[in-house]
Amino acid sequence: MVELVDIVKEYSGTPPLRVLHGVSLSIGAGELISVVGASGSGKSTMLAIMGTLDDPTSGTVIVDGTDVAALAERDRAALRARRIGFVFQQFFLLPALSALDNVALGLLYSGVAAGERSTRAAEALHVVGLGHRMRHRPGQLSGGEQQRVAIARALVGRPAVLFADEPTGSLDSATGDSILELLTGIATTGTAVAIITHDSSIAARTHRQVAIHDGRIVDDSGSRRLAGARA
Amino acid sequence: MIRLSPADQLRTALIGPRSRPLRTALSALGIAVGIAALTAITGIAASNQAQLLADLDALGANMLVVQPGQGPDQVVVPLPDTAAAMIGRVEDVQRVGVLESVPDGIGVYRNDLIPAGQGNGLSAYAAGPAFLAAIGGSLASGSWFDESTRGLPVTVLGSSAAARLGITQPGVRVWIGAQWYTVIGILNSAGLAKEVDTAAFLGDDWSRDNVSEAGADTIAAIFVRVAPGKVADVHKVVAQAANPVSPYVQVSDLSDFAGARDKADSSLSSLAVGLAAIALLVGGIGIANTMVVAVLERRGEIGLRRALGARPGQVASQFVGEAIVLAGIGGLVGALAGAIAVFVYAALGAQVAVVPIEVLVGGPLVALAVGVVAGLYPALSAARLSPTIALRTV
Repeated sequence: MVELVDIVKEYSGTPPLRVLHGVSLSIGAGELISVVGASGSGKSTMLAIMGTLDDPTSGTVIVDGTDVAALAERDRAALRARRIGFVFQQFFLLPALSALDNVALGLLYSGVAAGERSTRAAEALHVVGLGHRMRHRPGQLSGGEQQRVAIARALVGRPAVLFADEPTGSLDSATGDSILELLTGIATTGTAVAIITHDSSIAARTHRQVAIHDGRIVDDSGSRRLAGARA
Repeated sequence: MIRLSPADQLRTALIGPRSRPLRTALSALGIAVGIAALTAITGIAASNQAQLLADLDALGANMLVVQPGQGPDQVVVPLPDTAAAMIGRVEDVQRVGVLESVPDGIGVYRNDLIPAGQGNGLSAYAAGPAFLAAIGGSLASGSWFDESTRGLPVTVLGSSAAARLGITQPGVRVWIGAQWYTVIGILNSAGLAKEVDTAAFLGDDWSRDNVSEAGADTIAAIFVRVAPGKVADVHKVVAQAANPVSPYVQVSDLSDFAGARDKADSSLSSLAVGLAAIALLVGGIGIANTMVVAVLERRGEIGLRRALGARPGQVASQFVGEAIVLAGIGGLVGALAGAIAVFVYAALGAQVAVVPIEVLVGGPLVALAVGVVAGLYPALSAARLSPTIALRTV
């Protein structure tokens, strides 16, 4: 579903700062993987590149069969709108909008008509267990509920791949568990889910763990399994 | 390419103002003040203008006043007794009314006990039965001179003269030039012919026989009513007709006064436009400032929208849209407030309220344009913001 081939990312400066050193990774449909690494290891940069929010200095990014480098900015935006979902640690809900309208925002840029946006947003809120909180504003919701709204917003566009950057980072562990269960459930519907985290206990609950250190993938349980199968 | 519908664009542009209503109100206020100033002052000028035209219509804009002029030696050159008759023969002259002077030092007093110095700024003139119709004047009460009263010790007071003497009804006596006169009529205001308002009129026959010295030159002014549209034509020849032997004849056109006031109003209007432009500039800077702060504060939202598939142009149009909403609210509120100010002003002055439609429509449109300009820079900086930086710096 997402494929990174030999991705290098450098930030200009003297000397240039290289944060990714030839990373290659492939995530299949319905896979639930975690990318684990310390702060500054390059995992968020990798997520931004996989999510087409940032360009690599070199290397190839393929999302849902499309080489991102070949896309114009507007086509890349359309790809994000239709095929990619994002969940962030800070939720990024708009305080003036109800939960329903925040979720419907997930469809605003994909060309879905207003009426259908509301219907699908209501469905997505039911999926994340917030069918009874649709009219509430973010300020009236708990942290866990806010993150569920954010997940519903990412899901409402039925993305092929969902990137979650520290999705439980602002939550207590019980609430974090329920969010992880929700993300695990999403992977079973065929959406690839990649969770970026510094917390190895969260990583342990995903099907595949990719460890990143100083811009290099140092361990990939998926490839270990493959290697084990071959051996 | 996916485009947002106009309704979606509006909804998106309203998110910022809905989140921060107080800030929205304050930023819109600057624009509102500018548009209110523009609407109010142009509206007040237009109302004055309308009132002036109404005054002129009441008085008859087709009026010339012929008066004795001063010669090169600063001595007044009197008009000959035949002047009125000569003017009456000029083509397109409809009516001629003669205002005759009485000797200097004849004051108008409420009674014989008032000291001579307290003349109230009133003057005495003499006039015949035809004068009132010639100036288009009307009576508030009582009657004007007729053949029987023009030779009697009676007087008709102008509206200001009656007010200053404290007289509201005919029948009382006033003291004019050491002689009692009975008030037989009080005039309505004659509009631009202010000297009529502050006059006490004596009958012309009475004046000639009892007040003026025999053989004195008595024509103070000749009011000439001209066929509509012929004022300029008559203006050219009337001096010659009034006094064929002397060029020292003063002819004034009441619409000259109108023109002068008109000019005063239009200079007031350009001052207003200048003030409004400054207020709009300040308002625009206020909006730009608000939008710059909004872009800084809402980096997370900008990053999120980019992650949700918004193109840079869509982010830019959201922020321009917000600036337009702020300015539009200010423009509408300002136009409304300005119009209310005009109506209050007109009501206080018992005038007709006129708010030019082009100002009422144009003001808010100008405000929208200010919004576009003010929102442009912040919107472009929002669009240029890299989504990763926007998401990271929250």
